[in-house]
This record gives sequence, C-alpha cells and structure tokens, in this order.
Amino acid sequence: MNARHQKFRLNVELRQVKDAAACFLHSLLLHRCVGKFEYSAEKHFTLGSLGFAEVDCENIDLTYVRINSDELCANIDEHVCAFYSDVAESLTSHPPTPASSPSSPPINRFGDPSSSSTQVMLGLEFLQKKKRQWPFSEELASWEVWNLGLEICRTSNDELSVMRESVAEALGDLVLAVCSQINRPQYMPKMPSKTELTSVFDVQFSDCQPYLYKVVTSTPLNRRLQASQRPLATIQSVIKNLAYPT
Amino acid sequence: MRVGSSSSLCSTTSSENDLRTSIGQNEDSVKKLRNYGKFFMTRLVQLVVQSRTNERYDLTCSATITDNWFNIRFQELGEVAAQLKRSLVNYPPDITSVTLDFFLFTKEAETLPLESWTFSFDDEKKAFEENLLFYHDLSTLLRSCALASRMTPTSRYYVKKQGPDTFVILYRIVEGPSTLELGKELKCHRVGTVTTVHGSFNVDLKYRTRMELEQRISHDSPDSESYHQVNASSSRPVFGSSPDTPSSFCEVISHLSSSPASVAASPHHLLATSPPMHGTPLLQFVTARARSRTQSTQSGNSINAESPPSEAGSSEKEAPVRKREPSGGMTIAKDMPFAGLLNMSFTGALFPLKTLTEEGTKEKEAEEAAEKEAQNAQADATEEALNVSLANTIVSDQANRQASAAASIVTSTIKDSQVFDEEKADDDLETSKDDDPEDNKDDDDSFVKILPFGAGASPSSCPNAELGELISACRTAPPIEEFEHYKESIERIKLELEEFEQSQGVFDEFVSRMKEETFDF
Repeated sequence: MNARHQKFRLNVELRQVKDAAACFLHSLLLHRCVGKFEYSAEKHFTLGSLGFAEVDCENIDLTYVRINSDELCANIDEHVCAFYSDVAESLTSHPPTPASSPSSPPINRFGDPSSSSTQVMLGLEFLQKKKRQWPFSEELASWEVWNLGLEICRTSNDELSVMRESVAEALGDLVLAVCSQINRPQYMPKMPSKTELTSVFDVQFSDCQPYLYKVVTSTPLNRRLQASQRPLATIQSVIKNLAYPT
Repeated sequence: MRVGSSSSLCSTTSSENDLRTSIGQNEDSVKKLRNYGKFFMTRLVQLVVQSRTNERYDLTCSATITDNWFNIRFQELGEVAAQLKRSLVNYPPDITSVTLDFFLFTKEAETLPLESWTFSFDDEKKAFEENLLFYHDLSTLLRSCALASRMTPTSRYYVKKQGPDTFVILYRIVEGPSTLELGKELKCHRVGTVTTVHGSFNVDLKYRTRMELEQRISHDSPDSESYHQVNASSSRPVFGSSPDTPSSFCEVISHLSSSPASVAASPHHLLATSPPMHGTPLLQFVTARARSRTQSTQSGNSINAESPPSEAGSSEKEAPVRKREPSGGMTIAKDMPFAGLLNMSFTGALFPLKTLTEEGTKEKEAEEAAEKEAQNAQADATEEALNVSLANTIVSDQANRQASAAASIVTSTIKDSQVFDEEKADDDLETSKDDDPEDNKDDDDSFVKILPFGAGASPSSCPNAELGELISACRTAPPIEEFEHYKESIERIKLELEEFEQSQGVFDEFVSRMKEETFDF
C-alpha cells in the first residue's frame, strides 16, 4: 500500500524545538484520534467523547489544542523530550552552521540538499497491521506519513524574542496547512470490528484511541548511531535469512 | 398468461418496493444531512467563539460519555446559543452558506474586521458513493476548526490582550457568504471538505494579516460615511469604519463584564498597550486627536448597524476635520445581546457624532482637565437633561454641557408636539451656540425624531409632560428624615391589640357556634 507523504519545514531556535515538535505531533494526533471504543457486538460499537485542552508554548507566541488525555500526552512528551535531547546533544557535539536568518523562518517542502545548517527531522507515521501467512508475523504498513524538517540555529535572547513571533506565524501556517491536508476526501482505514481493533487503533490508552502511530526522528546523533550499527544489522539479516529461507 | 402476468406483477411490485426503499433511504440520508449540518454549524460557532474568549479551554476525554455530537465534549455558552437562534433560521444544506465574522472593537468605538469563517454546502460536488465515515469526517473537521481558530493572527495577537481599556472582539453570524473587507493581504484557507452523495460541506477561513487601519477621507461628498479625516502627512493611520458593519454585534463572552458602551465611557486613555508585537506595529490607533468623553461615549454607543460607512482608503486632504454625517445612521439591533445595557433611545437611533476641529479638540482637552473637579457638582443637576442615548456613567462637566446641547436638539425637533419653556430652551441654545457654533449647525441637521424617555422634560420647560413632572417631582422630593407621629401610631397599635385580645373570646365562640350549626345542617 502506498502511504501519503506530507513534508514540512520550519526554522527554529534550539529552545523552540520542544514547542514546535509538541505542537506538530499533538496537532496531528488531534485529528487522528477517536473516542474509546465500546463494543456491544462484533460490529456494533459506541465511541466515547474526546476533550480538548489549550496549551501555551513556552518559547513561541502560540497556543494550540491537543487531546486532553494524560496518558497520550505523557507518551508524546516522552518522544518529544527524547527528540530534544538528541538534538541538543547533536548540536553540542557538532555546532550548526548558520545558514538562514532567524527572522525569516520559511515553511516549505523538503528538498534543499545544499543547506549546510543542522537539519533534523521529526516524523509521525500512522500504521495499520496486516496479517501475513504463517510463519510471518503481522506487518506494519504505514498509510500516512507526516514529516517535519527543522532547521535549528542558536541565537541570543534578543533574537529569540524576535523569533517567538516569526516562528509562531510560520508554525500557525504550518498547522493550517495540516488541517487543509487532513480534511480532504482520501483513504482512511475502515472502522474495524472487535477482533480487528488492535490492527487499526492503539488501545493502550484508557480514555482515547489514536490510530496506530509511530514517532520517527532523524538527528545527526542517531544517524551516526545507525551508521555504526549498520554492519551488525547486516549480519543479523543474513543469519535470519539463512535460518528462515523464503 | 396468468403466471406471466403474476410474475410481471410481482416484478413490478418488487421494483416499486425497491424504488420506495431507495426513496425512503434517500429521504433518510437527506434528513441526516440536515441534522448533521445544523449541529455541525452550532458546534462550529461555539468552538470558534469560545476560542476568542480569554478563558482557557480544558475538557478531559471520557470513555463513558457517548452522547456528545461528533464525539467531542464542549461547553455550550448560552449567550452564543441564543444568538445563534436569533441570527439563523436555516442551516446548510437548506441554505447555501453561513458566515461567522469577527471584528476588533476599540474603546474609541471603532471596528476592524479581522476574520471570517464560512460554512457552506455545495450541491454540485458530490461523491460517487456513500461516505461511510461521514460522521467521523465531520468530527475531524470540527477539530480542525478548533485548532485552526487558534492559529490566526486574531487569536495570537488579540484574544489574550482584550481589556476594557483597549479593545474587545465582537462576532456576528449571518446567512450567506463572507462580505468582509479584510485588506489586501488577506489569507484564505479551506479548512476542510466533507463530501457526500448529495453534496459537500466546506469550511473556509479568511483572515486579515495586515492590521493597519485604513481610512477613506472625503470632505466633499455629503454622503460621506467616513468617521475621521486626518493629515495624510502625519503617517498616522486612522481607524476607518468598515463597509461590512454587522447587523448585530455580539461581544465575545469573556471575563470582562463591560459592554462596548461602558468601555467607551471609561476614562479616556491613549492606547499605549496595543497588541505588543516584538518590533512589529501591527495595529496602529489614532493618537493625534484627543476626544471628549462625550464624543467617545457617543461613538462608543454607535455600533453601526444599518448604514455601514465605506471602508477607508487613501487620504486626500490634510485638513484634520473629523466629521460624521447624520445620515450615517447608527443603530443597534434590538436582538443584540446586552442591548439593554447599551444606552440608546427606544428606536435604537443614536445621536450623530459632532464635527470637531482642531480648536474644538484643544478646547475639549482643557475641558476634560476641568471636568474632574466639577464632576459631582454637575452630575445631579444636569442628569435630567441627559439624553438616554448618552451613557449613564458620564458625570463629567463636558458631558453635561454636551447633554444640554443634546437636550436642545431634542427640544428643537419636537416643537410641534410640545410646548416648551422658551426661555430655558433659548438659554440652552445660546449656551450651546456659545460653546460650539459648529455643533449647533450639526444639531439642526440631526435626524432625531423621538423624545427619549424622561429626557429634556422638566416641569418648567414642558408643563404638559406629566410623566416628566412626576419624575422630576420624585427626584426633587425632600428626603425622609424621620417618621412623624410615630409615637402616636405605636400607641394606637397597642390599643388595637388590646381590643383584639378582648374580642378574641367572642370571636372564638362565634366560630364554634357556626361550626356546630354547620354540622347539624
């Protein structure tokens, strides 16, 4: 199955990374979440209700709305914090090259390989489990992929105060673009039966049910780690193929 | 043949049944469409309007509550629901579109259109097959609206900075597409589309990005609807009135209890704290002219409802003459929330603003400085003369003089129906003429035709106004310091109590006798 891909780009200061990442992820999950399923029969169900909460960004002059579920928020915050720590560590070990003006953060699609500034990527994939024949386990296939490319710089406090507004405007436009993209006639997984619920939705939360999702990040730090682990991964895949030939 | 005929009859019958079923299903789906459209519209208005209040939105998810429309919890504001009922009779898809507009209303009673939300139904864009996730898609669209409403400049710059001393955000709900003029650099977004076999629901958002206040200056046209004219070289953009003035303004519910009238009646402050953008002056207000409090109040009451002034454009002249045409008819819709709090005449017509010149403004600045000293002394004396259209909170000397001039306007226009105390009327007119000759000319041109309740009606000026006499008599009645002959009344009461106790036995006997006779009967 071909997944839909949407890519965005944003220039932020290091201290704004958490806010931008959280806003991006929560805005997507706001749309890709339903109330808790309650099945009365195999194919008959009722849905719980979703609540919203406003969140004020710390270093961006923006307020966004997220699903007001403590469990879901904790899960996302965990990803955001891990992402931010990777980014901070990457910048510490390899300081970024200033490539763009802090006062004019563009919002456009990826595709600028010539940029030499530190770029990181945060992605959110929505998945669906598909069963395969024995002995293969279920396959996770993504049906929608959202990527946010962040171009990170470090500035002084004065410049940060200017960027608060400019990044807010850019992030606001980004979220509006997300809304426009989401609310189009397009493929969506069908509402599942009781037995197929876990193939489409993430059921770990008690008060809401987002579609199965996975947070994907790409920072200089984890790119280096992946590169170092590549030979090991290759050997593992060879052994696996020898043990279980197709 | 019979078999054939019966079989053909059966097939005809089955096809008829199928047709009825399909028609029934079609009717059901149309009914469902109408239902969804109505509830979506109401929820959309609630969510977006609440995003414009300065109150934190916080509702938790619930797995047990399953009866919310679109599976979304929200708090319904009664004020908004009432306004919806007043404003709309039909909803999409029965009508083509409904628009929710937002305006910025400053303390100087000036409005700036900010953004416009349009919920529409397009019966030409249809889906080929039934959308099984129609309800779910509407829920997603509603969430998008809740999120998008916080991404616009209105939300970022103005929502949290509303205050009685600066500005408030107003909204209106109208049938039809958006007609707001949002400036040259407006942005348009299609928030979402939900398609069905009958048509598609669309939510469109337009918002202003350039918060500069534009004005059209026109001295020559007698039908000019512009509020102000300023020096073009001063590079001070002046607030101009929008051509798309709402038919009914609704102040967004917030912690503020003040209505626009009281906002305008508050002590005059220069807007030192306009939306603080870091180095970007997004909103610029008039600071060149100080206004009188009365002027401010009159303008504060003047929510233009019927004859919207045209949008401001480039300035043409340098002469800083502020003029408001009486034909610019300022009215407040009676169905507007808190309409009763806004001070206006029974007809909703307000007195027009008066022409001011630079000299007049300077005089008024001096008068404002002196008004604080004479506030308490003048308030009671001239309260009767105050027209209802002026805010009751005005107690300034300047306001009272204006009020007396206004009273003279009233008296001059109702000469045919009432007999006036000519001396007092003449004195008032002379006073007003002495103070501001130009204002008098405008007063003669006023269009007020109905005498407001109790205004301008003193015993000496209007002997036939019995009601006015009663009011003034009540007001001038001497205060009750003590009850006279209270000692005598107490003694009389005691005597009566003693008589009652003495007679109580007789009364009881009578009652018992009556009861016995009743039982015997």
